[in-house]
Amino acid sequence: MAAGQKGNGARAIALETEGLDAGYGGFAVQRNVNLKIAQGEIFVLLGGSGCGKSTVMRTLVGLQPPLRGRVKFFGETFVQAGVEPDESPPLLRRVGVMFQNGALFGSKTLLENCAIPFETLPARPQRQIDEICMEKLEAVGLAAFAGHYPSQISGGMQKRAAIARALVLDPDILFLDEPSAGLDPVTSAGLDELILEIRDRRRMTVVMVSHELASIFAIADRAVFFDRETHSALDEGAPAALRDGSQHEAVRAFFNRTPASRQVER
Amino acid sequence: MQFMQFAKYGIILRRGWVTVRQPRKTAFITDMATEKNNCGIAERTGMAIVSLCLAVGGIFEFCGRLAAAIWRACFARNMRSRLPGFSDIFMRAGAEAVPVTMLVGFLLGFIIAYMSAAMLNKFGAEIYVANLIGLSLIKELGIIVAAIVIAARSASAFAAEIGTMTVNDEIAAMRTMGIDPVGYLVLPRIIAGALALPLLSLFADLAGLVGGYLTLAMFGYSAKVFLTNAFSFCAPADLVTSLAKGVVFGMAISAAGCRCGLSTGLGADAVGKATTKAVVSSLVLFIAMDGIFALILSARGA
Repeated sequence: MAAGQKGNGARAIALETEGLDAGYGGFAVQRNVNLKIAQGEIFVLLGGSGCGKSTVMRTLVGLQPPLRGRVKFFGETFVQAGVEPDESPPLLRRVGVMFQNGALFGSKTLLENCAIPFETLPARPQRQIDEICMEKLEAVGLAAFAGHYPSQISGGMQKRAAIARALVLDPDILFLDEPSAGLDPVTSAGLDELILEIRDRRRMTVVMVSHELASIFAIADRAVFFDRETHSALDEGAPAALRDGSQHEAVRAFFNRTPASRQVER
Repeated sequence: MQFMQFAKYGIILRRGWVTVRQPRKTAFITDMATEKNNCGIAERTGMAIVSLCLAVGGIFEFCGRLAAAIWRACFARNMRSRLPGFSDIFMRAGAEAVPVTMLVGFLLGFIIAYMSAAMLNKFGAEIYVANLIGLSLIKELGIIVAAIVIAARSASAFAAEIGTMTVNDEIAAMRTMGIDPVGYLVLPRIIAGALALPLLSLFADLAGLVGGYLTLAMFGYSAKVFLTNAFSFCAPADLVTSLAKGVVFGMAISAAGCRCGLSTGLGADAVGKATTKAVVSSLVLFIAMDGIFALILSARGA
């Protein structure tokens, strides 16, 4: 699907950051991040290794507090996950997160893994929970492996299972950390299709960290490029526009796969 | 790189000069790790004090979270989420530890009885071995054996399990799902430890008494005489006190193991370090607590 093809009308802002500083131990790896991600958009966080895009994502999902600024989901300020478990679940239920390696619980089967988010909800019949989980596993094509443990399936399957787990409470925003890293091209393309399908079917907003150019061009509506040197977002826009028309050499170099030794400032 | 940092606004101590420098670009904690090798004694002392303060603060934070988790578990609407996985954990920490606890208890009882009998025999007082064994097992040794077994088997296992989950981002995933890792992982393990340790101590007592009796049987005493003497110095209150101690030690040892797991760094070696730290700190913690209990109980004349 071509970048930015989805409706251009006024859409609700799903995720917004205001002057966000993200980092560890008092030092901001990315400063003054101002993002506005519309509902139903597939948005990619880009940048070279170590530029802090994963840190930004961890801050967005509330795993670490912002050093400065705010993260808002649908206009509500996000409560830091885990710190106030009494308060955050209502908002956390609107967010699904897939970690880079899947982060499935090794001691539980795929079905049990998918059922974990239900622990925060009032009790409901096990049969109902299993039905919902099976439906999500089917959506990622893993219904036949529901009884398997994560160690019994491949890395690509683990990532798909992690997506199923992230989808289980029907979140409004899905965060994916390098969904196609380390996968073969066919599996990776399958995953891209799955992400598009999820977005189209459920009008879900997808925010992902990715390095895979093929996958970025295939599915992303917009992308933001974080720079390691200046600790700031250099450029933002549709991937094709960034590749061809960015004012920043680093951004063009990223999309054109130009090694650092051959980069020259225009 | 000869300098010493205090918090993020570092104060440099270099050849007698003291200057205040701008916050450094990298995190303070990583600085401490990388620059530990090339700095002097004053800097090392300062870093040690800072990391000690951080560690103490971390322990208080953990205790607070634990208290909050206990509070929430008491009022959880969802029964399933009160103590997830408790029966499995209790099975592994308690039931599966019975054979090794009994073996250690038996050998300990046998060895102590044998050594003391060799000595007391010279005065014709070997029957008092029974009193000695009964008193020491019920008051102290049973609990110590059970605590060492729990620290070695379970605290290490808790630290390794939770540490691996931390390394694999599973804890982070849990937090993004709105599940509190302390309530979900730590609480069931602490309750399991608190129940398993006193129960195991009973098995250790039993096996130790059998070991002690074997020694006295060699001197020709009957089981009835042995048992009468073994319990002559202890009151039922002693057993109750020691079981209560066991509950406290069980909680402390499991908590130390879980806390080491939750504070695991990154990488496989971090899990190994966390496991070692769990066993060492839980043993030190329980010995220190045992000393405190001994002081309190002797002050009360028990």
